[in-house]
Order: sequence, then C-alpha cells, then structure tokens
Amino acid sequence: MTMKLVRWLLSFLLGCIIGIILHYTLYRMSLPVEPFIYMAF
Amino acid sequence: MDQHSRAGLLERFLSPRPLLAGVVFSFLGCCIVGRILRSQNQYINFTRFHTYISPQTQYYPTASQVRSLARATLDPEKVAVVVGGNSILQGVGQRATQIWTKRLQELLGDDYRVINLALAGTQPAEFGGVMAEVLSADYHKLIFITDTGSSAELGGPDRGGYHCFFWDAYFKNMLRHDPEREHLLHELSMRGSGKVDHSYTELQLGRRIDALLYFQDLWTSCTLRSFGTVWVPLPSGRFTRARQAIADPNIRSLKSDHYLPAEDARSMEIVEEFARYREALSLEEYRSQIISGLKACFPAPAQKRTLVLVMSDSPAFVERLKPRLKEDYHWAITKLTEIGQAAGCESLAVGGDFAVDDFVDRCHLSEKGGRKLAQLIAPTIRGMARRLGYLKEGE
Repeated sequence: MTMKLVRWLLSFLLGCIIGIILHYTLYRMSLPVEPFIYMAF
Repeated sequence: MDQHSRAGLLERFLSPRPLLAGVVFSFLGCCIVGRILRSQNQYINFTRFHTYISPQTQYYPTASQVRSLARATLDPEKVAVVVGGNSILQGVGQRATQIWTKRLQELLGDDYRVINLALAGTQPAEFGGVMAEVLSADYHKLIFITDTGSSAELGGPDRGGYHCFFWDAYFKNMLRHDPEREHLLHELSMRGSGKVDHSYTELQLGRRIDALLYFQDLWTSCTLRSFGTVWVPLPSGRFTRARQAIADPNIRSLKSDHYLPAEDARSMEIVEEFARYREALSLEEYRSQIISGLKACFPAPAQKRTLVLVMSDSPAFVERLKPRLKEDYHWAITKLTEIGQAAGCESLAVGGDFAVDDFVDRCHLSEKGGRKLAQLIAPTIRGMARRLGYLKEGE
C-alpha cells in the first residue's frame, strides 16, 4: 500500500514538473529570436 | 536483459495515470496563475520601462500587465496623459528622479495623471500607442503623446520591432475593431509578395495561443519579481536576478556620456539622411501613404486625442549641415508636422530652438532639455483637454 502511494506521488510529481516545463517551453518559443537593435546604446 | 530491467524499474516507480494527471494539473495550474497575475500590478515604484524591464534585455511586458500598471497609476476621474514614443520620450539622458514626465506632471497639476510608457526604438503608434487605445476603454479622458523625426518613422499599426505587443493586445481582445486597420494588417501579412509570410503567421499563432494559456503573463511576472530564466548580460552578472531588483541604469545621464566622439560620424549621417527625406516627403503619393498609415494606427476616435511631437535633432549636428541640406531638414520637420495634422492628430514641432546642452547626443534630451519639453507641451495638453471637453471651464 505504501509502495503504491509512493509510486503514485512520484509519478504525479514528475508529471507536475513536465507540465511546468511544457508551459515554460511555450513561453520560450514565443520570445523573438532576433536580437533587439537597441541592445547597446 | 538491461532493457528488461530498466523497463521494470520504470514500472516499479512510475505509473502512467498519475503522471498524466500531474502534467495536466501543473499545466492548467500555470495557466490559472498566469491569468490571475495578468490583472495584478507587478511593478513597484515604476517610473519608466528602463533597459532591464524592456525588450532590450529580453523582457517583454504583456499588454495585460501594462494595463494593470496603468490602472494602478491613473485615475478615471482625472485626465490620463499616456506618454508613448521612443527613447527620446522615455527619457534616455535623464535620471529617473529628474525625468521630464515628472516635470510635466508637476506643471499639469492634480487634474492630470501622467504615465511614461515610452520604449526605446518604437515607432509612434507602437507599445504606448497600443496601450493608449487599450486604456481608452477604461479612461475616457485620455491624451496620448508620441514622437517622430529622424529617430522614429511614422509607420503603420504593425511594422516595428514591437509588433508582438500589438498582437498580444489584439488577440486578448483589448483593441477595438477597426475595418481600415484590419485591411492594412491583411496587406502587411502578405508583405506585398502576394504570399503569406510564415514568420508573421507564427508570431500571430504564438500570441493567439498565449491569449488562452497565459504563459507570457506568468513567466514575465516571474522574471520581474522572482528570477530570470533567459540569459542576458545584466549588471550583477547573474541573469537569474529579479528585474525588479535592478535599478534604473539612467543611461546617458552622466556628463561623460554626452556627445560621444565615437558616435559623431554616424549621428551626422542620420541627420543628413533625414534632410534628404525631403525628396520622399515631396511626393504626394508618399505623403498620403503615411497619412493613411497614421489613420490606421490611430482610428478616428483616437486621432483627436493624440499629440505627435516632431522632434528636431541637436543643433550640434543640424548647424553643421550645408545650407541647402539645413533648409531641407527644417522643411522635412515642418512637413511631418503638417502630415500629423492631416491625419487628424494634434502635431507640434519641438526642439528647433533648443540649445546644444538641451541634448545629450544627436536626439536624446538632457535633464535641462526635458524640463524645456515639459514646459513647451504642457499648455498644448491643457488646450487639448479643454477642447476635448475633459475639463470644465476655469479648471
């Protein structure tokens, strides 16, 4: 029973991490690739 | 054997259903947090979008965040003065404590609330212009100030480096529907080639998805308040540092940074190029193209509440032009002012009579120049507010 709970928790936590990474990946993909022209004044 | 034992290990420690539940739970959780954050003001002691909270350092504020910032700063009962435009109006060359918009606020008094939404490198209708339109839904007494001149071409609604911001507001339904603008946007998406530009389509798709999933709102808030995740050269050397914790760098405000000799030749070239702009501006067809572009940027209700400042360059460069070019330069400034008026906006030429020490380089104003600018435009803003019926007689 304990082993089953640990397994469930571990899988859920790993899933959470993957979900956050997926969300973050969308953010990174939406950032413009070209560097900004006014980077150096 | 190895493969078998590895599969056994995974099976022993992981189970697919909770794993999938975790993915869905955290992904939706991120979306919900992003949605909540978009309606909260994230900026503390905001003066302007300085280098470390602007796209110059890969920080892209979202339209919803800027709206929340404006809601925390402006008062619907007072006249909202939204300053857009580029680095000149952003106050590059002035310390945050001495910035010209603070002086403008002092001069205008308590019936007005001034907010500086200018960003380096923007065209007149970008960023601040988009925000002025967004804010006009909440603030019916609104005046928008922007600039043009040798540093900022009068462009269309979506032509500069900040078009992602326009699409952010567009797909979040923060902009009003305007058929003329829609038509121009369709033409721009074709880029004159008759074919769809895929990078443009991709940008739009990204913003469309973001309007549903709020990843920009979540991760930019995180960059601002907690930790950065995108590598950029920051003053502390640590790109993970929260942007809110980094002070305004007050670019070019030190005397030693004024009129850098290394930039002299390039600055002179830009001023000469602008004088040669007379050739294009003389063409009726070109002028009407700019006017229709401006009208698309500022739909009819926005035109009369928009003040376009046509900024002259420093006399340190203009006075060095050959007589013929100098004449062309002044002609171009006058013509641009007329174009702004023809597009239905209030338009004012500024800086033609400023001194060398009113600037810190070719185009940016010093603190002294900033004070002069505020002094010069405050009566125009008051006049606009009266004309637009924002203030009662005698106020």
